Amino acid sequence: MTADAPTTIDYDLLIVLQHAPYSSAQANEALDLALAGGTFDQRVALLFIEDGVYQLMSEQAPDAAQQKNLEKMLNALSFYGVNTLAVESHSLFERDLHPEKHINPKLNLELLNAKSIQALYDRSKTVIRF
Amino acid sequence: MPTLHTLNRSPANIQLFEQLINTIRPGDTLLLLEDGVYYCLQNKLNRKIQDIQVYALKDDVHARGIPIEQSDVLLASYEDFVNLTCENDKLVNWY
Repeated sequence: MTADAPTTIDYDLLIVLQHAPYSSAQANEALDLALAGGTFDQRVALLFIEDGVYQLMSEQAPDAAQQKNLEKMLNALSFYGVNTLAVESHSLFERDLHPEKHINPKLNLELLNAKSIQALYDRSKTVIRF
Repeated sequence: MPTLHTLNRSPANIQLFEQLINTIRPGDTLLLLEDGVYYCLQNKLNRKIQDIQVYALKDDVHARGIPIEQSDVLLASYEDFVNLTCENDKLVNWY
C-alpha cells in the first residue's frame, strides 16, 4: 500500500480477457460472467488484452465449427448495461489488427495504454482474469 | 521426405514458431489450424517461410472472422486435410 490519494471505485467487476475465442471455452465463460454481472446490476468493465483482442474481430462465423458466436454475445452486452469495453492498444498493434479494418464496428471501444490499464485495475473492486 | 506440419497456436507463441521455422524444409507443407490461422493476418509468415505451401483450415478461418484476400495462404477443407496427410510421408504437430 502506498500513500497515494484514494482511488474511486467505478466498477464492481473487471473481467480481463486474454485468450483467443473458440480454441478454448475461456472467452465464452468470461462473456457469460459479464452478462450475469450486468443482469444483477453490477458495474462491469471488460478489458481485452494479448490474444483476447482477437475476440473483437468482425465477421466471425463459427457455425461450421459448431460453436456459439461470441461476436453476437459482445454485441448484446450493452443490453445488459455493460458498456465499458477497454482494449490494450499495443496488443492490437502487435497482431497487425487495425480497428477500422478488422474490429467489430458495433462496439464502442476504449483504447488503453499500460498506464491506463493500471488505473482501470485500481478503479475496480474485483478482478477476474480469463 | 516431404512432411506436413500443422500449427494450432497463435503468433503470440514465439518460441513454438521459432522451433517450427528451424525444422521445416523447402518442399514441406504447413497447415494452420485453430488459433494458428491468426498467422494469416501477419506478413511474418511469408517472410520467414519460403518455398513452403501454406494452407489454413477454412472452418477455423471463417469462425474467427479473418480476412484472407491479400494473403498467400490457401484455404483447405477437411477433405484437403486428409489428402495432405496422405500426400506427405509424415505429419508433425506443433501445439
